[in-house]
Amino acid sequence: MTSDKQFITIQNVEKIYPNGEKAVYNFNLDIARNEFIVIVGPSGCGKSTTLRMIAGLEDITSGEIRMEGELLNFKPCKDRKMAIVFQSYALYPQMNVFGNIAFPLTINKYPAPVTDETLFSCNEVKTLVKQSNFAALVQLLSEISVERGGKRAERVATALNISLSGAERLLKLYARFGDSAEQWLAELQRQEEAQRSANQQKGIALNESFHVVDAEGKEVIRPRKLTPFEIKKKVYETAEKLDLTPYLDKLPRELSGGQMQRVALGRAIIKNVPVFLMDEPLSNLDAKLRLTMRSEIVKLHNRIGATTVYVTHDQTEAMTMADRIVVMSRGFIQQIDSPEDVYSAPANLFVAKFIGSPAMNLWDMRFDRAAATLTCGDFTLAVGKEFVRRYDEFYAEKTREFEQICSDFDETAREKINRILSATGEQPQNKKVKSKNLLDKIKRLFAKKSKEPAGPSAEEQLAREKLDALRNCLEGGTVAVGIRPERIVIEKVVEGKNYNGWYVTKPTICELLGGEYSVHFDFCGKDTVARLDANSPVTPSDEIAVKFDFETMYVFDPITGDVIKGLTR
Amino acid sequence: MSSRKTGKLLSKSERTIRKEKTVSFIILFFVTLLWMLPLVYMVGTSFKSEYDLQTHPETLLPSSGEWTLAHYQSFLSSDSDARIFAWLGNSLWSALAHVGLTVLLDLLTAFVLVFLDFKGKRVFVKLLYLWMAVPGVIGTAPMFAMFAAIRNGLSIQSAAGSYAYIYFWIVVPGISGIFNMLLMRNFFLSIPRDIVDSARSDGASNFKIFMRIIVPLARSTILLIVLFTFTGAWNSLNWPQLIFSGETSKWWTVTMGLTKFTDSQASAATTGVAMATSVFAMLPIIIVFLFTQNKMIDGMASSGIKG
Amino acid sequence: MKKSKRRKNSVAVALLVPYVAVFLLFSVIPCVMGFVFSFMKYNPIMPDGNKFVGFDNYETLFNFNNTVSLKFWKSFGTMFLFDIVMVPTLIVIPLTLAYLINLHPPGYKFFRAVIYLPSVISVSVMGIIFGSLFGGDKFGFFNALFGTEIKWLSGKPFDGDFLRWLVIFIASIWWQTGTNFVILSGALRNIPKSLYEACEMDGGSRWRSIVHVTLPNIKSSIGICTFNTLIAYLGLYGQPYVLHSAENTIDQEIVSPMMFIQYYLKNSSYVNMTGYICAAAIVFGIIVMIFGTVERRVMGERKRTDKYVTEYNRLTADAQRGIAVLADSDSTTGGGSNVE
Repeated sequence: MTSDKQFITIQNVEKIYPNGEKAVYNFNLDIARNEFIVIVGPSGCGKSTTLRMIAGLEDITSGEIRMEGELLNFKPCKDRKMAIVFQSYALYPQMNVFGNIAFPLTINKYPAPVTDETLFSCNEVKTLVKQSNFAALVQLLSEISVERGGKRAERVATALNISLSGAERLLKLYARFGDSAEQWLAELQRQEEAQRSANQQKGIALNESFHVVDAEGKEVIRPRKLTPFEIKKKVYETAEKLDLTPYLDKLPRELSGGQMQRVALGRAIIKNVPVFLMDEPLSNLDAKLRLTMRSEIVKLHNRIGATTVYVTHDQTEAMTMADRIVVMSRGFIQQIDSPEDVYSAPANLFVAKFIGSPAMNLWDMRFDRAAATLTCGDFTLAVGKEFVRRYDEFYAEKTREFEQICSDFDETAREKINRILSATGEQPQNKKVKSKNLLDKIKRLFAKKSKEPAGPSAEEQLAREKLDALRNCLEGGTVAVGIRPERIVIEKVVEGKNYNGWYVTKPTICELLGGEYSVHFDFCGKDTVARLDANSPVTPSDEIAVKFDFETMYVFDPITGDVIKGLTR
Repeated sequence: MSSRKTGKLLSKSERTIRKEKTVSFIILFFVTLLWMLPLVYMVGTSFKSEYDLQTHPETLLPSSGEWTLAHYQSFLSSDSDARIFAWLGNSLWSALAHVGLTVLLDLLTAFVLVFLDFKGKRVFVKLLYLWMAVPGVIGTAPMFAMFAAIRNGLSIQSAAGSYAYIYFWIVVPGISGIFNMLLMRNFFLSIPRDIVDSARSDGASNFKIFMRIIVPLARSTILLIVLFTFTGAWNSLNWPQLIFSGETSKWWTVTMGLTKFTDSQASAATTGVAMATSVFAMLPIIIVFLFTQNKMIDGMASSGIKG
Repeated sequence: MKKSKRRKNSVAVALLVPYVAVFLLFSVIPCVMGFVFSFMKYNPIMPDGNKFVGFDNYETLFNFNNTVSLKFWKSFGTMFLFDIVMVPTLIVIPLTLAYLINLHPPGYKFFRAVIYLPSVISVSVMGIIFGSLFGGDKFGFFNALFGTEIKWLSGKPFDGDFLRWLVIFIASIWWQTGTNFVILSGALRNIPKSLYEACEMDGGSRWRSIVHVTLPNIKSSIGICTFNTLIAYLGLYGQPYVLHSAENTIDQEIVSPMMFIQYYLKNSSYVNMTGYICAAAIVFGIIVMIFGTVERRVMGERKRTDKYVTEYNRLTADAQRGIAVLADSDSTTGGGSNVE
């Protein structure tokens, strides 16, 4: 029923806090297996809330979260097979690195097949004796047996990569029979037979890998705690992966930010769960370390292959790490797309402004429908017939949509208006400012009663205003025009060349960023950024010519925030 | 369809939170009742009439219609044994002086220890830490001897002189408490040195830095020290008992004076006056407490008193 | 350069003078004097007879046939028994209340204020209230309530009469829960929420989160509370002083070393015993110091080790050595019974 594309499905999830504040609206997302999803947005956009709902740390007000088709809503977070990395790392301050990483293993039971240890280890040792270099084996055993420091069995087990009981058996054999392989095998045989007959008497059946099976031949699975040796092995393995082995005995407060971050990751990895959740894990690190950790997390993701949901406010992190980006603002999803698409085809004004560094240049321009031009002051840009057609279509559709909204203004319509406001970046009207002042509280109590039955709400008012504005736009109006800095064609003015159709100006700031210049100049009353190859040095005293190609430009509707025209190529 | 259902269902974590809150509310409610009982009893008894005290000692509040201010009047009007005003005055000024001097000394010393350099600073701090472990009781007897010897040496005759001398020994000895000073020092250590350095580079003198930057920053720690030293001074009993022995009871502090009521067997006859006096003696502290308790408790909680 | 440094040095020293002067005069010198006096027969009123007597005072103090010394040791025993019960109680009750307050039930600020309130009340007011509540005649609140005439405050604690100590116990809980309660609730509040969440995600139950998150994070606060309470109750004085009955004999009154020292200092007829009292104070002081140090040690940091790094390195080396053994074998079984 569920494919890999729908490993985790989040359907219509909403979050309303007990104080009535709505943090997440209608969140829908299908996460594929092994995907790296980044939820990005400014602070307070509901991204962390969403993550915490997935983790089970926050209750879901409505909607469903499923993993492999199984409803997670009411599952306690420890049963969700997820691991979370917090911004503050949340390391247990009293435990050293080993203790912190081992913690999840020490307190949980894990289902495992019941094994006949005796037979398993006898078989192990037999295989070992037969297949390995026996002289070297005896040599190793003799060395380890005389060395001080205890835990010999663990050392033997690690050296020969066998189980602990196997190692114990081996040491006993060596102590009893010295270096006689025949005697070892005979003894093993004897022990095996004894155990077999004991099993037969008790009626225990085993399969070929010495797991206890029930009457139907199925393995008996029982939850059990990991042994200290198993835990150690796993912790050492994890610490190795994260280069933490020299710090195993250190307490969190003795570690640097990057090391603490790695410990937090280790604690997540060791749980061996299919889903990783990360809540701004890099924002407490300094810039350089952030870069390194960023690539380390991506590498880790690729190696472990766990599905990752990563929350950040940093669009660069989102762009560099994600398979898919979810852009959020004020509780609404603005766009879900691959980093390339979010960058090159932003769905609305918010995404256009938020993604990209330096940000997209945006100007308010006047659209003259009759002349098919965009104007700003003296500057005119021809747009072509195709755009006029698209413009008409867009506004006709939007006007219809708003007429419908205004005709029956209900809760859905209110939400739609809020959604539009989140995209345009306008402040929501009628924002309930809850003052803590007692006097204000009392005032509000009285005010509410008188206000409730009165005319249309502020949102409805706003919807009507927007509808009027949309109607006015049918014959042309102001639109938001944008272009990415690297798409602006720019060059130093050369004497004698004809710059007809170009915009000639002087730059305000020229920043050299290694291989290229970031050239700032004023256009259309706004600071505009463009990229220029560092081969031709520019200074604010030079003249530059700028050419805008309409094909590479975006046009947004400032009323609804939606995109009218994206890149044409 | 299920979204409507889930919207109304409380999830498990929400339910547990509610349950926990309810349980803790119920327990705390009863604990608070228990905690208020002695106070209510005190206030109630102070308003009981003599008759009520004789017949109904088992009630918290006076029987209806039997409320009386008699006990208050008796110690306020007459020149009774309970010289509550003198005691209160003595306690208040001496405690305030003690607190003021302590804070001043702590601020100054901690400032020097953190922001100025001198030879042997580390050794000095280490010695203070070591000295903290030495219990003050060792010095009690010699201090008392010193007190008496110096008094004999100065041969103070006048009452005013004796009063001043005794109160010098009440106010001054405790002001060099190490714990408070180190508390202040630890707070100063947590102030980024950059703040002080930048002020210094702006040309601020040590005095300016101290007054304009350090003291305002240290407000919550100062409040904490004020709280500790004030309650300590107000409640101190052993030392005043030693040096007030043989002096007129007018000079006593409140805490010492009120022990008069516990010295004798509590009986119905004195209970009313004792309670009224206690209520009166508590008033200043309670008033301050009511206005500052939230801040005080928060400050105490957040300033992180750690080992 | 050098000059300015010297100037800075002298400014710092000048500013330190007031503190150091007071500290020396009223802390160090008395203690040193106490130490000296303890080896003397000392009388501050009539200094003519003062002389060094070596360890005589200490010998007397440890001579259990001496009635005065016996009083000292008996008072010590009484107080010690009381402290064994009292100090843990004054940690557990405030901690429990702090935990409950930190769940922030409705009205928690009010509860918090009420629980803290008794801490600012002076000990004698506390004595008046509880002395009246537990009055020994029929006019005491509880006696009147139950219609009894129990002599709550008479007698010597643990010596025929346990009730007075019970009253002191109850009164102390009421009076002194506040401070520890506030310190501990602050410590509880300062535990980052994400630690609890991490523990929950790791599969920890409520009990686990208390053991692995709550307690370790407030350990240092518990340490300081225990230390303060321990020191305060080793110097027990005010509570037994105000909660007593007029019928009590001197013997029944002296129930703690502090009361012992105070009694003999206050009473001018014992003035020639000053040297002996100093010896008693020093012995008592040393015991207090030992307790304090032991408490600090117990609650202090555990020693750092490099156990795991060593073990890891050794196991890694062993694994290297094992390669030679396994060189011949082409297939080895995986380590242990696998856990999925």
